[in-house]
Amino acid sequence: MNTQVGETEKNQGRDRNSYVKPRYEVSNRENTYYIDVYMPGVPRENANIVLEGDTLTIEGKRLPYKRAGWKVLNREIREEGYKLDLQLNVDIDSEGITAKSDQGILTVALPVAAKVAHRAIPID
Amino acid sequence: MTLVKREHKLGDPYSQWGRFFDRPLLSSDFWPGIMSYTNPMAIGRGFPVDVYGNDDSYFLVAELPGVKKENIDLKLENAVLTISAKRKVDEGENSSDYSMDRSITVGDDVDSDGVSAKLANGVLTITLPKAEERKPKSITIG
Repeated sequence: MNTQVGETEKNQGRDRNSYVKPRYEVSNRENTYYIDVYMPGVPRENANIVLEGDTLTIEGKRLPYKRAGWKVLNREIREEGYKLDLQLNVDIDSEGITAKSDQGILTVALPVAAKVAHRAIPID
Repeated sequence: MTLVKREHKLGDPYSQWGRFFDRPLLSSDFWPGIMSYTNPMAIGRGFPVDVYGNDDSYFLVAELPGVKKENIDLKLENAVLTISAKRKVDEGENSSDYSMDRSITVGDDVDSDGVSAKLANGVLTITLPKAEERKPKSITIG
């Protein structure tokens, strides 16, 4: 048992630079795609969203749950940060991207670029 | 047309989430004899929980993204703490309800009147103070 505890400690150091892929959901309303990314423990200021070409990268750093002086009794929650890398299929108006964070869910709104947006075409 | 062409580092989006629950539970001899666990998979929809402690209290940390304060119900009964959470997902016309439960056996050394909880960024932290007579004391030799 003691050796297992020792290994856990070592792994924590090694995992510092690795990531967990967060769960996410995509929905589509009125020419805008919404991605809900589940990142509990990440305050708004620790989330980062980058669109580069057609690759959307969402990262989040958790605040550590363990406070000074707390001893670990049982751990199920992984402590690595979150990272989601998505290659998008749709042209996005990158200027129009907005995001909000609520109860550990980051919602990114990706408006479809005007040239590919669905429009009703009036008939003269 | 789907938005996402592909994910880098391919895999099921839920795979990491599921890893929380696939881990073997720590064997009981690891425990200082205070708390034991109910396997979340045995109850259905669960969520991961961390347990910490110091001389004064135990601390339970649960990840409940998207759950509002008023939709969390905490009950301490016969040394079993049950966390029930409900979440409403609104997607335009569609809305669906999810509920999740977790029951954790806490010891008889918890001061049930002093239990408090706080929710921030989808993370619930519950403080369970230890009853006064069970806290470690240093004994002076007379």
